[in-house]
Amino acid sequence: MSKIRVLIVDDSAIVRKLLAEALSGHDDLEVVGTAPDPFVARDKILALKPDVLTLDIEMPRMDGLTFLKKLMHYQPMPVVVISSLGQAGCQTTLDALRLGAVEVLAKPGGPYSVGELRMDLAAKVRAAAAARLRRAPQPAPAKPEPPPPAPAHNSSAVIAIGASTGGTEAIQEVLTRLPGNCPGIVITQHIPPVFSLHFANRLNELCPMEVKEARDGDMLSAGRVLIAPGNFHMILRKSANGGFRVTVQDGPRVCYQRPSVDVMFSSVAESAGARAIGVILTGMGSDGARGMLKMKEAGARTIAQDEESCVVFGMPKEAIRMGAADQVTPLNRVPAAILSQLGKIAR
Amino acid sequence: METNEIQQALATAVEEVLETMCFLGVDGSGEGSAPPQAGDARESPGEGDEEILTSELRFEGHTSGIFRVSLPLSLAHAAGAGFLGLDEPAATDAQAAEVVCELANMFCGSVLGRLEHSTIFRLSHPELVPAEPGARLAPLDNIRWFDTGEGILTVSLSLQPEYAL
Amino acid sequence: MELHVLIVDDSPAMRNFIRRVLDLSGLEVGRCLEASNGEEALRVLEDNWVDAVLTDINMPEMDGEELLRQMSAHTVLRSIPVLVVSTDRTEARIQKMLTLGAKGYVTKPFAPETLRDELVHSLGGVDGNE
Repeated sequence: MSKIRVLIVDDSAIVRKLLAEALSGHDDLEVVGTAPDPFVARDKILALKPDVLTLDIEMPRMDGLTFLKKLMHYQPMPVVVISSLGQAGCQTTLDALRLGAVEVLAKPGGPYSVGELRMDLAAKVRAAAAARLRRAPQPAPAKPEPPPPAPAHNSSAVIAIGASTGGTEAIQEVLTRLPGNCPGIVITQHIPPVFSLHFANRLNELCPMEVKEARDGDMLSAGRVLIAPGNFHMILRKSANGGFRVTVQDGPRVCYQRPSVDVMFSSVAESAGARAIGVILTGMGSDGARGMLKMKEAGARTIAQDEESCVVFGMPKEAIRMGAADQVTPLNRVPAAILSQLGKIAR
Repeated sequence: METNEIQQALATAVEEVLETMCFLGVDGSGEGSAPPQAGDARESPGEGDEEILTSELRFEGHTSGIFRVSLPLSLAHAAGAGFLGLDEPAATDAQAAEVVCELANMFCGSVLGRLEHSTIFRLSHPELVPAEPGARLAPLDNIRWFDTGEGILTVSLSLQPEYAL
Repeated sequence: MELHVLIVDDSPAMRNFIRRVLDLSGLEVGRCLEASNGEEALRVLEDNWVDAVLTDINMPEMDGEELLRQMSAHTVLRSIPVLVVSTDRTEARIQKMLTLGAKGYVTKPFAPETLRDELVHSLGGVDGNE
């Protein structure tokens, strides 16, 4: 198998060195070049034809988003965004994901250990290399379509959604098309800490329901969406009053991930049984497949995103292979599939 | 617009264009179609029967009119070589003609900009006026000659509404 | 780093002149693409990743003003700096082109340094000499 050729674009020489070192020990990866700014990057992209780009989104001289737009127009390729955890960096990163970047990594330094960086960066580069690209950047939705008028939903049901590479956009597409009084939704998306907060906040602005980054003990109720915070697992539990609440906790990575979709799905299988709907969306790897199988065995209805509409057909593929998915559907039909399954859950 | 003002604008604009774009200096210039010492007052500049290239364009804006530039073929070649960065003999007649049209465009734009700051002019595409033997072009107003050392170039500018685009 | 530019002018002689000025400017010019009007320019820009566009105004088919308009309305092309190079030196015209999104304006005739400086300025001060 040929190596994945990576170009590192970052204005900091130290970060370029750190990233190059982090990628150096992997047999399947090769750093073919580095660039301190978008101008040099463009020349090297055209000359070296890398498979994946890591892009510092906050650079002097030309902003990363502008560069990304041009890149996706002229020479589309998978991009791993490297961003600081500041307010501006997080917002920019979400914009970058909308423009076609497929993975996000927090800028190394501070709390990051070298070992974690080695593992995370390599995984994200591999996921990006497997991504299928859209040629043109998606036009930002001015205002999402108003969700259909909501029938009276079974408010004791739970919807659990898991996603990874390409998931931020997929989740947004699903949530903006569900009605505001939808049953409670729990979401695990592989995303670094802090970005998860900004991701939740942005969805909250775009969606008819309340979307928030989950805190330990949060109640789940109709019209509310809880998103697992980066670096923590989110577990659904029955609460004393018959409803649901989440536990947000540390713990070992599962399928190299924290938060892990498997952890969340398994907890939903235990706590909600047949009153749940499981949805597995685009993403690299196999996280979520086992958990979804447990949900199915507990009587839940399960939906997997189809290959054609996935950025990376990994997690849904594994779920389908294991027989965990009742239904395989393109992304744009996922909201309708959820609503249709909801109607079948006995009150 | 005053005649003096127009003559001044023609003088500055043409000299500037020739110097910065064609690397041609201007040794002398004055009102009319030819320097006085050239003897008889010929309508067309240049020496003897050498072929004269003429390019015209029309403009329209706050004022409208027509602009013309005439120069002998040898001077057009010299200007062309300077403009295109070529060794002198390498400029072909076609290249020289193209450069003459571009000169007309730059002269005219530059002159109008000096005369009128606040309105936008539309300029037509400069066209080469075919040199038919014996044919005389209708004379224009505001004629000015320039001696470049490589030959005499004349420009003229008529402000006449009927010339509007 | 190399600068890739697109020169838009209906006069081949003027395109040639501008290219020569850029070659001699000390800037590291990579590809120098050409178009003879706005329509052609948009076609070139669709497929070629350039750093800057130098455009004339008065051109057949599609003029420089319309080219600027179309670029400004395009999600990607809007971020490419445009330098207008025109014989028109009227203040009204210059203001109009700058309002439409041009990053700089050079009047013909121009000294080579003027074109160079305006181009560098329109690129946000990047001159390729790090």
